Amino acid sequence: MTTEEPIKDERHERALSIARRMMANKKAAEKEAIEEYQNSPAKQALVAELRRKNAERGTPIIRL
Amino acid sequence: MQKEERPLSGYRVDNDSSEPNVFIFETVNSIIYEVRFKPSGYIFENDPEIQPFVFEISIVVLENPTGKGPPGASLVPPTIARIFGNFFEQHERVVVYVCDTSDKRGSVRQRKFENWFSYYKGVSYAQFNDTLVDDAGVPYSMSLIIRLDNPFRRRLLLAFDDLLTDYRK
Repeated sequence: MTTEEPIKDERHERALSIARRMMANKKAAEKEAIEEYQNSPAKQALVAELRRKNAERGTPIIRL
Repeated sequence: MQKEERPLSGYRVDNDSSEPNVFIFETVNSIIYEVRFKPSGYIFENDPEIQPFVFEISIVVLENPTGKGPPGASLVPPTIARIFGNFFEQHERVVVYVCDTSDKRGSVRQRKFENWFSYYKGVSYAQFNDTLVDDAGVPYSMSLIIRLDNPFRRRLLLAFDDLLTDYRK
């Protein structure tokens, strides 16, 4: 038996806790982005303008 | 010898001036993607000096008129890598974290992106990847991306290593 195990477990839990929080935040951010888009005329206008410019050029592809 | 042989094509990107950390682009299939850099200082909760410079990336399909899952469009990864590049050019000190559960499709997607990003980044950026697995066997892939001249580079790498090292043992 050593005294190191609890520290290792603590750090393990801390790392997993952050990873889980990041995943939860990521899913929440994705949901928020879609809701915001559906409810934001300004954002919809931005997308419409992007589509219009791409249609005008005949392609959305550019040289990077 | 020419280093650059791959065609550097991608999608045109726009952003909303009121939201400088949010970018959108349209694919050839008319799918609209949003790429957002979201402040995420909590990752370094014990280091307040670094917190303002930590972001997570979120990639979302806003519109998909195809009615199917987005195809593995080959120009999406270079477009996202380009967005990364522009974001880093504007923010010297920024660090971006990417986190995903590693299901089979997610792993393939992430690997493709990592490969392309490695190619695209040249010598200006560094990417560090690792995976955590919880007791239920769920894997969490984590990546840290920074500019090589980030003044917090050493500190960030130590913090990333500190976060993951013990669990890998």
